[in-house]
Amino acid sequence: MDYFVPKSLSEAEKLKKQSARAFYLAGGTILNWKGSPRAERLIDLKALKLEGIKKLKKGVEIGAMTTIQEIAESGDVPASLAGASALFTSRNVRNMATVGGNIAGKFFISNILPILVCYKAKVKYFSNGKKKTVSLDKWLSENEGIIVSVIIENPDRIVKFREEKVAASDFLSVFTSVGYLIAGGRIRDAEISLSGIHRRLFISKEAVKFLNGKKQREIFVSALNEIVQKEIKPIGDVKVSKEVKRRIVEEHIINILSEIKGETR
Amino acid sequence: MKIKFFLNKRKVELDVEPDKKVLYILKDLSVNSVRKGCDEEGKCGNCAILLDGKLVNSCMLIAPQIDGKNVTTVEGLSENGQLDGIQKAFIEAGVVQCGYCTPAQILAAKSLIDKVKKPTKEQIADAFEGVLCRCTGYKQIYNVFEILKGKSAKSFEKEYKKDYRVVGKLTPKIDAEQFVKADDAFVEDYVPKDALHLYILRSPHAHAEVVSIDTSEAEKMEGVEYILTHKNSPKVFYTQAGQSYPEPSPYDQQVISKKVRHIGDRVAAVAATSLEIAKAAAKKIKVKYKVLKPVFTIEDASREGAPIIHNRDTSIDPLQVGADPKRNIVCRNSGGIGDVGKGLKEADATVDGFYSTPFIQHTPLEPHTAYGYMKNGRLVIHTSVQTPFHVRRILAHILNLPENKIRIIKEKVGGGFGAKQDCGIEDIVGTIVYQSGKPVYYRMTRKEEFTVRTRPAMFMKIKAGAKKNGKITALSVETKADVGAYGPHALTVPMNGCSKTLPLFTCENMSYKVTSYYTNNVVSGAYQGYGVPQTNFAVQMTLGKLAKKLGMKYEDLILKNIVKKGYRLEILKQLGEGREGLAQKLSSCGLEECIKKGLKIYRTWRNKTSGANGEVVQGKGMAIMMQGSGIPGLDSANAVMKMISDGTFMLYIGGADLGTGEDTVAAKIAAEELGVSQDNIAVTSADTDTTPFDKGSYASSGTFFTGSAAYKAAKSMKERIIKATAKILGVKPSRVKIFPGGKVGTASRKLSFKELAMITQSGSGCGQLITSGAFTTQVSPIPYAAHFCQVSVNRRTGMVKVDKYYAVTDCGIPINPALARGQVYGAVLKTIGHTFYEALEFGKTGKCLNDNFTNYPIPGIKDVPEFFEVDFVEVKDPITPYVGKSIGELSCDGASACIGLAINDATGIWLDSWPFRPDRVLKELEKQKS
Repeated sequence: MDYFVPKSLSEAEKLKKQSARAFYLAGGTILNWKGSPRAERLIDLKALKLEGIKKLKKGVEIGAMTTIQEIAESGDVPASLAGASALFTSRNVRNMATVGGNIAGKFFISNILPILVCYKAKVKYFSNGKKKTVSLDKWLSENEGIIVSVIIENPDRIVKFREEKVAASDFLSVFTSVGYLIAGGRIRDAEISLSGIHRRLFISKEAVKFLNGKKQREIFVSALNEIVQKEIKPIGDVKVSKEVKRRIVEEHIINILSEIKGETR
Repeated sequence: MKIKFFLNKRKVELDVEPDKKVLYILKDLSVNSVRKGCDEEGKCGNCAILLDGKLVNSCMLIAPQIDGKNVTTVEGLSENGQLDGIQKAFIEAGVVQCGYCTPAQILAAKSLIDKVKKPTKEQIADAFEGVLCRCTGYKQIYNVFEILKGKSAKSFEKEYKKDYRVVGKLTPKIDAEQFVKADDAFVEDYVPKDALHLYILRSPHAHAEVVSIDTSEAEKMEGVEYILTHKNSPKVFYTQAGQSYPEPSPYDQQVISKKVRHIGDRVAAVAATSLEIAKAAAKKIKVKYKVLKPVFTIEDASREGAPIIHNRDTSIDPLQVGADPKRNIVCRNSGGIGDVGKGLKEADATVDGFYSTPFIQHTPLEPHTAYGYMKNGRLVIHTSVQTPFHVRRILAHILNLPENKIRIIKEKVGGGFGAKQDCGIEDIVGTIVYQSGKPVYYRMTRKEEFTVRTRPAMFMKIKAGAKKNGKITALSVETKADVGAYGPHALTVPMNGCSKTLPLFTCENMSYKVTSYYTNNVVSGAYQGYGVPQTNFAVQMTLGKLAKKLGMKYEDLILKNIVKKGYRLEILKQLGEGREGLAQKLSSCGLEECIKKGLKIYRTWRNKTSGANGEVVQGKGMAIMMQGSGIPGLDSANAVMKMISDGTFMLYIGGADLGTGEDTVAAKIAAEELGVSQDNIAVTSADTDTTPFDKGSYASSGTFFTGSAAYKAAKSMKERIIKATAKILGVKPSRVKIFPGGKVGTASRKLSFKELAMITQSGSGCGQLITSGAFTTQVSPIPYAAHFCQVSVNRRTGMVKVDKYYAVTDCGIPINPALARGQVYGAVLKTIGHTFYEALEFGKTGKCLNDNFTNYPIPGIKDVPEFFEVDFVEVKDPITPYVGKSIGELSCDGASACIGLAINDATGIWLDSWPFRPDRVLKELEKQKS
């Protein structure tokens, strides 16, 4: 196996293009899972200075190599992101796993991705010699370049989440996150995202249409749940069936809305 | 690539492959403390290190990730042999059991305490959540931090037996220091670099015959030293079951058979200079199979014309246990007392129940490991096993050797729970070592652990009847067990389910019937509790239904029917292990006291409703349980004691400490009897060359059998000391007494043990004082317990959470209170896992679908109930002055029933099958609605 530590993003990109079986190494928790990486070329991103959390004038920028534990402990990131990060697998893993790796690995049982979607996070990435910024949603579908950072431009968005797992040491079964803004007393820019339901991160299209424009107290659980349930097609596993996953989603929606209504009372 | 890093402050420079895992880099540097408990899934955390002070899994890191960094392992904590404060606190808290995960736990504690001096409970749980432990139940980890704050263990751990100095007192586990320092302890720590590595090629088919096997290509590979197939495997049939001879298990196994009977069965074994070469060579072995129709259920196995899995001669079985291999019946037995039919007729209410429990894996964090070699014409095996003497006997039978040509050394065992009771890998390691003459090391993967030894699937039909006043008039248990491809423990597991449940009650009409079937499923065998957790669940759930039918409180029904001290357990005569058993009069019984003590707390718990729409409902449940303390009339243990020249003692016991503290128990009893401190007794155990015979550690026998052998050896030593002193002092032995602190003599003249040793061992003395103690018994003290729990059931999702758990135990004298308590915590938490989510799942072809910790989670520290307490009732039993009844297995017997009854209390549904996965809960709730 070839191993490289590029000094610049351009060099990293060049190295990647030279081999079809080249992989970027960040925290390694996905790449090194069960046996050594089966890569021909390993491009270690550690010299690119991609770690760290930086407060922006408006928002926060999280370097791609920032570990999930650093996010969990940070006072600079929005509380829901820190809270959800603290639930990610175990501390042993959180100390190595990075936010960039989580995004690039499209980890389908992630506590981080749904939250980032609900914060309408953007991904800054490097591709073809240029840095570009796109929505996380878009990056996940296009999967292009080296992730440089994740930007949350509006940390004041209301973001709530719930998680359910079978055992504490287990991966999550379902993670549900809801995020939005309030403008003129009405919901705007809503997002609903779920993890553990499909093989990929689920981002609602229909439910957000339902939420946008409504007052918080006008949201009926049953209506929202019905829409989400129509959109999702859960996959079951040996521990939790798809039917149970549907029930968990319903439970999450109820509890998140109850929390929101409780706070607005 | 070249990497530089600091390992425990020492600079290390290496030239390694960039994709080499840090786990293996450290292992190559002789760092013991990185233990591999999972298949590099990052799930068990036992391989954890501190990387620049942060806890990370070394199995998920590769070489460049430590380049330029500081790596700290437990080896770096103690300086000049002195323990660090955290290591000391772990010992004092009594939280070190098998010790396999201990180094990682210590690092978790260090990473936390370096940042937060007085961590909260939540911070502690957060720090430890990535380190799995199967022994301790995590609860006492919190005590470590209390000790670090300056508290003494005595401030939260009760001591017992006021008149004793060592027994019942808080003393360190005698091997704990070895574990907290990660000194050489486990088999893997002793394997030399020149040992060959073994890889086993396993069957992809559930049922097939090997038509041809061609190893020629594999043999040509450089580094391949030996290949075993059915062709050169011994043809002898045996059972792997580590039970006293004659075993009530069929002789249905060969080291490698021409026929494979489950996915994962042995096809060939390659010994090579590295595991990678052995694996690569195994891939080159060409095997042609004639695939046979498999059977995966008892229904299919017992059907007329079903494929026969073992077409074998049962006359070679050491005991005839009702086998009928042509009908796939491994064994069967039935019996009882009174007349159940009559009892049911007399009853005012009767209940029939049908229950099932799945295949479950033990998951000790250390997998099976063995290292063998030939020395001076003798076969020596260092192994992680519970029964070294049985393994010696079984191997001698397989290899047609006299037993004195074989030496089995049990090293420290990283958890056993029954998985390591058998000659599970020593048969194949021993065969290859003996045939090849070469040293061989074998270590199972986690995946292999899941597919070659499990708890059998059991199906139980229970009938019970009672009078209006609650008097039980009839109770019957009918069990069918799917034991999988081979039959170790096939009779005794389901039988034990009956012999440790029916005798809880004074009912006069009781019966049992057990039948075990071969299928092409994974092999089953012993698992902590040994059939009792399953059967007790079935019995208690049935009695719960009966109580409801009678309109009685469950606890009232139980209290009305339980046995008490002096009651004669006539049914035990029927329930032997493949032969007639021994009826027993109860020499002690703390069951009623346990129940009453528990009820005081239990009755204060109030059920509440919560959740946004009131969907979370609480319920309470209780269960009683019993176990044995070894098998009277069958098992035996021996001990030898020597006074050495400074007046301290060496104690040699055959018992196999699995981390539960058997060595410590033996030392404590001997120290108590001789009036010396625990430090004065050094223990050597479980080496077939140097220690006397002991049946091994199973059937809950360690504390009572091995402890009693130690007591007898110590008692005999006491007599010898008195006799020798009398001779030296020229007085009658009746005038000589032993005084605390290692002194002996008369009121006017005393010798220290050191003086005595020097005189007796001198040329003019009587010779070194050496004694032995042999322990066999016709009676064995029965441990009892009552468990209580409160659960929350989410009626919408089907998820259930245990909020409170309280276990009250009669274990006689808690000889080592902290360890005893830790065993209860560990057993209960394990059983909570079994109840809710631990179950092997199989595909249509018999392939296991969850043979790893990713898909088969086990409880972690965050699964510990918010209220989780253990209490003991101190019960005196006259058999010996130091009767410590068994505790580990007993504590596995109640959680499922307790939780099942609590769920019923909360929702009205009955869950009759494990695991109580949310689907099952929802299904029952739906049924209830309709």
